[in-house]
Amino acid sequence: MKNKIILIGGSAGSFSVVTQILTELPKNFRIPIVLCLHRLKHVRSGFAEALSLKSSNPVIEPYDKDRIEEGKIYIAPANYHLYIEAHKHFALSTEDSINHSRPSIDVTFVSTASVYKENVIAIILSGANNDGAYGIKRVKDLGGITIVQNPEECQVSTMPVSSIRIMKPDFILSSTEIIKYLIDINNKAFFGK
Amino acid sequence: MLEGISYTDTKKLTAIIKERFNLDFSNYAMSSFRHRVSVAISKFNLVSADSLIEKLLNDSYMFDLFLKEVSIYTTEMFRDPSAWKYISETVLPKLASQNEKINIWLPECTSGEDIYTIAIILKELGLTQKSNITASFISNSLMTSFSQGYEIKKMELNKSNYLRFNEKNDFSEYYSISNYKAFMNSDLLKNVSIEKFLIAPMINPTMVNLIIYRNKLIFFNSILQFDVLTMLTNSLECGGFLFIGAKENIINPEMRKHYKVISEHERIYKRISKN
Repeated sequence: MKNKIILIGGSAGSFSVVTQILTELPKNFRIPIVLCLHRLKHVRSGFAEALSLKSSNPVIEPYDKDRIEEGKIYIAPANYHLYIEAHKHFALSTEDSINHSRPSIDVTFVSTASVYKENVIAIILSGANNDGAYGIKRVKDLGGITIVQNPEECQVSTMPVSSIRIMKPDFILSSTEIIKYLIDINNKAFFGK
Repeated sequence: MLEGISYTDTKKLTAIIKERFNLDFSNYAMSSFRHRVSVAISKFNLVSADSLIEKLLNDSYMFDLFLKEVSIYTTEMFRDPSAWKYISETVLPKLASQNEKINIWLPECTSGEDIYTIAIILKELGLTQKSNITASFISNSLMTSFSQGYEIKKMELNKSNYLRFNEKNDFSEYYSISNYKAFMNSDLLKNVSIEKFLIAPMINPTMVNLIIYRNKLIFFNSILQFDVLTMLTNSLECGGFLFIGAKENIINPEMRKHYKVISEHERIYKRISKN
């Protein structure tokens, strides 16, 4: 299946894990990745650029209506919610914060799940509030694969713990295991290995 | 609730609204619209899209409430301070040097935050007398709430945005506190005229020099974006500026031909086509 998508949500303590993941994913990684991370509202530039330096694939802050493309890593822009629309493009919104968060991980996960259904691989990393828990539950309900970072490894475990509380993730993994899992699934999807 | 109402319900609802109230939501950006409708349904203590439709058809006050609920409100002044700085330092001085009066238009206002932001900037540049601001509101009730003493929420955020825009001035001179609420000083609005905006194409005899239309295009699909941009472009004089939201884009290549990007990062375009 080539129309898979990977969602990664996180807040406090997730930046180093995201950096590690992006650093270790190979250049031939084709499945699009959408990062929804809580970030400072007023810092518009620098984040995607900083991640780009570490990543072998381009890290992009999408504009409204940009199409989702293979081999790209997208990061939700500061101070907007990031939806995915039925025709697989992004849609941004300035609706109110949800769970004190904009971007809200729940918004991105729920809307992606309704479009990509069983082709979503959703990951919740370290974070300080319960945004994302409902979203990853919806991914699971619609048949997607769900992964929560092992709370014992997390700098701040509130986000993974709240997720585990309301749903049973398919996997609870360390960051190293997450990377291995993603590489495997990419190889299977694109190279038949 | 985050899922929003279903696509089938959305189609049904937009068709009925179009038929009954002559307003077309079918070209709105669907995900966020579906979400806002379900928020409205739960706010009205209803259970489904069908029950909302029934209410809309039978209760004449309901439609206004519904419109209020599905509208998007800008609740932040000086959002993206560096963009407003660009307007203040580059765009307005240029317009001031080339025109006797600077005509500024804010179409489709739902709130007063952007209006006060531009009014403050003009005041600080000493350009209040030299400019006209036209603010078009989408509904009478929003217009009334704006003209009768405008209460500002999220004051801490506005202050910190303002400090990034201009660290030398004191934002507190622009508002006053009464009963623990912050109200903007209405004398900032000397050069502002407000009007009810009709969704039908606006006949705009005055050529506009600057259109401020931030974070509105994102709520439309590309068809409606094109229609709205056509209307805005027709009102903008050649050499005038269009200022959109930080992550908005002019997607349509035909539309892009009318414009030159003045600041990629701040999303400021200049109309280069002739009228």
